[in-house]
Amino acid sequence: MNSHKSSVFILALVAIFTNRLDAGTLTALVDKTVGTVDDQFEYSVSISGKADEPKIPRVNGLTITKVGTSQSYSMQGFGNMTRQVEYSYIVTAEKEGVYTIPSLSLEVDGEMQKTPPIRITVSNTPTGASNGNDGESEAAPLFIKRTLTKKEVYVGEQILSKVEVYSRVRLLEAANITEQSSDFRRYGSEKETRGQKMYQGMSYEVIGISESYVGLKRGDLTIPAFKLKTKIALPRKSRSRRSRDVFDDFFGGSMFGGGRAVIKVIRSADDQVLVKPLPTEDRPKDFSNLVGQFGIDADLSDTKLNTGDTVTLTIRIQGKGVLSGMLDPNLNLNPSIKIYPDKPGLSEKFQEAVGVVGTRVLKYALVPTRPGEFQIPDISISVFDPDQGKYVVLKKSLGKLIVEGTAEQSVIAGGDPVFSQQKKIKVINEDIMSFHQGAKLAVNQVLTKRDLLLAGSLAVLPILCIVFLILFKPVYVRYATSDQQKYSKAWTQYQSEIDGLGDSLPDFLTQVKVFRTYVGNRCGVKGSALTDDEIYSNLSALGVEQDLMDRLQKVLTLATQAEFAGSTLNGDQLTKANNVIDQVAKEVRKV
Amino acid sequence: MNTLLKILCIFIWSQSILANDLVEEAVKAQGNQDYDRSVELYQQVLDDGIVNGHIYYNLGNAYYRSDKKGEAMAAYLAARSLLPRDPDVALNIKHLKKDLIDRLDTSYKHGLIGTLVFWSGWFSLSEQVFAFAALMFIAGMLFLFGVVKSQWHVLKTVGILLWGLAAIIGIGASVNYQQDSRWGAVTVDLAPVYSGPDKAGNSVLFELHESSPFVLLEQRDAWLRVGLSDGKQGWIPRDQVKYYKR
Repeated sequence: MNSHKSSVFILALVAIFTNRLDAGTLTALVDKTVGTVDDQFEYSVSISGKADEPKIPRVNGLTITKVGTSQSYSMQGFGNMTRQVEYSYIVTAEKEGVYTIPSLSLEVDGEMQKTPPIRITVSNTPTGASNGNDGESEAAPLFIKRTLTKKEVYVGEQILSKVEVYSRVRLLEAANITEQSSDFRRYGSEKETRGQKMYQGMSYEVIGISESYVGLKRGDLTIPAFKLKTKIALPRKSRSRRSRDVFDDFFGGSMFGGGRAVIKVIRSADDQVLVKPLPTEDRPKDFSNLVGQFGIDADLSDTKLNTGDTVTLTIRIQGKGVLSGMLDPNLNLNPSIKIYPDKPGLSEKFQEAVGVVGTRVLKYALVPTRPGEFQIPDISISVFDPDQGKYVVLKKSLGKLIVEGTAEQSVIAGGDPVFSQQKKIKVINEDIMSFHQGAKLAVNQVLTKRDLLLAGSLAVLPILCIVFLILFKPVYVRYATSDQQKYSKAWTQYQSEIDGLGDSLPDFLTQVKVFRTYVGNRCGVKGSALTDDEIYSNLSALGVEQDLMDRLQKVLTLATQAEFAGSTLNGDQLTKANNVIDQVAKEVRKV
Repeated sequence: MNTLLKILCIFIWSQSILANDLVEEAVKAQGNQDYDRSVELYQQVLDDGIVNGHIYYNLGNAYYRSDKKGEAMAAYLAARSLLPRDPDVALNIKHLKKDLIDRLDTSYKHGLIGTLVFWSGWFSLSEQVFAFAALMFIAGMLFLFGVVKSQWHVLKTVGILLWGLAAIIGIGASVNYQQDSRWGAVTVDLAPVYSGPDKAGNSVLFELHESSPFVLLEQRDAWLRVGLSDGKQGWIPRDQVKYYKR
């Protein structure tokens, strides 16, 4: 129990003394103060005592990357425990020069501490000198080779470049930090190739990157070295291995030790290229500034239109070379045709084997202001072909534009003072028409077999009727020429002729005459040539009753008297006589 | 028998309801700018046997919005054969034609008959079939009256003239069926066209770029014989084009 009490007392004392720490320290140091742009400087900040993490100031031209933190505790005398933290950074320079990492100020254990500024001197690496970067000096574990297809080009001509990154180490990251050059425009492929190659008896993993450079001005120019900022996994050394090897040389014997990642900048050699000016001899006045191998196509959306209407002229230039600096062609159109250029379309892409290929599409809305037949001049674009070393004219014929319409239309479209103040509608964008909606979407418009059957029946029905008529023609013809038809025709004629007759004497005489004709027609005798006796005998043959025949005889006798000797028949008698004739006629028809 | 009829009616009705639901869903998807889904649904409607020019048109729009210009051209051309006078269909085809790399048109009228029936593309196949049937009927009836009533002999002459007109319309419908209703378009960047339906032993005659329109002339296994507006013909692998069978 007593021993326990004494232990607690000692621990309490330790706790009291632990709270009283000595004043802390802040130190900053670099592994070297002189190096090249390819080197990395290791910068570490050590803090003894209680403090926040230091904020590393930015330095123009330097990249400072934190790579790790380590922490330890140490006892300094009885009850004096010190906390030590070390922050590690990698410093790389973009270019040669003298740089200063400013002093750091930090409150450590309640007191402000300050480090002195650190100056580092960075020199440029001689071309392909150190670390075997050109791949020629020694079998470095990581290096770049660049080959160019040409060393002598024209302004605007492409130089294809193949960059190969040879690696025997594990690359964790790689970033292209090649400097931009104002002398060259650089194009590159987004894809890279990977493979294995033997070099100086060693196997490397090779990453291939394709690029092209286009010289922007004449002269003996330098294509800047291809630079990669890499993060490499260092091989872990065995403890027994003491001698320096090629990895030590290459990675500079890092003070951070092996088995960790380090950042390393590698580069190819600079390349000298002679960029020649384009020849002035035979240079066309309308040279388009295009250098490469190109083709042309052009068309009109319509060749016939009315005055005031619009036709679209589309010119497409496509081929191998840079198209972005192209000057628009001069169309040389008839002044009666107004030209409204559209925004040109340009697409350029990099292809590994040929470099930059592209298509430029020029569109013009042409509006003729008067009718006529206009010959559209050939579309011609002058380009320089570096392979042939001469200027080439690309040509495309378009033929004629036939414009119809009246003078009034053209005046409205172009010259009328009232309309000329109005602005042509500017096309802001071109797009498809919107989606269709509504019940019409659900209707099935398919032509079914039922539809075809219906249509076929409709078409064939009258034909069948006609065929039927043709097949039964003898019957039809017999009917058409039979006595029945004659009788029917005679009755129709009788009916039409007595229609409208009254009860007067002349009408009575007319009716008798018509009756005679009817009986004649009925009996096959033309006209009214039958005598009364012939009428009686024919009617008797037809089976007309005797009583009716007697009455008819009286009527016909009265008619003869009235016609030749005058008549005293009154209206009532005439009506009765007419009725008798009608009655007989109907009787005849019945037969 | 009655039960069978009822089952058939219910089946047809349920198919129609299903198609309507799909169309509604497709319209909703296009409203949400989910064009891939919209394409999928419209395609499903067509696979269900619904033939509708507006569906083809919307399918074309959905393809266009998904940046599939070749498929869009094929769908618009299918819509055109069903809606030959629809201004939206015509404008969208015109819009796509502006971006064509190959100088090709979307009309295919070749030969004397093709030239004579230049107008057949203004009407759909259904319109032409029913116009043909109606004219045949009227012409037949007039001729019939002319035969029966000899004094109306003028009707026979009118009937014969109408029969002639019906025959022209019939030829137009036939040409329309043979040529205009089987359009398609190239869906790959560059499609080689061969002299025969096999790569071995046949040479490449020419190459077509994406969206180039063609008329389907013949099918043989995985190959299609296609005709172009400029008169060229050749064989193209089926998987490099899109066309709609109607």
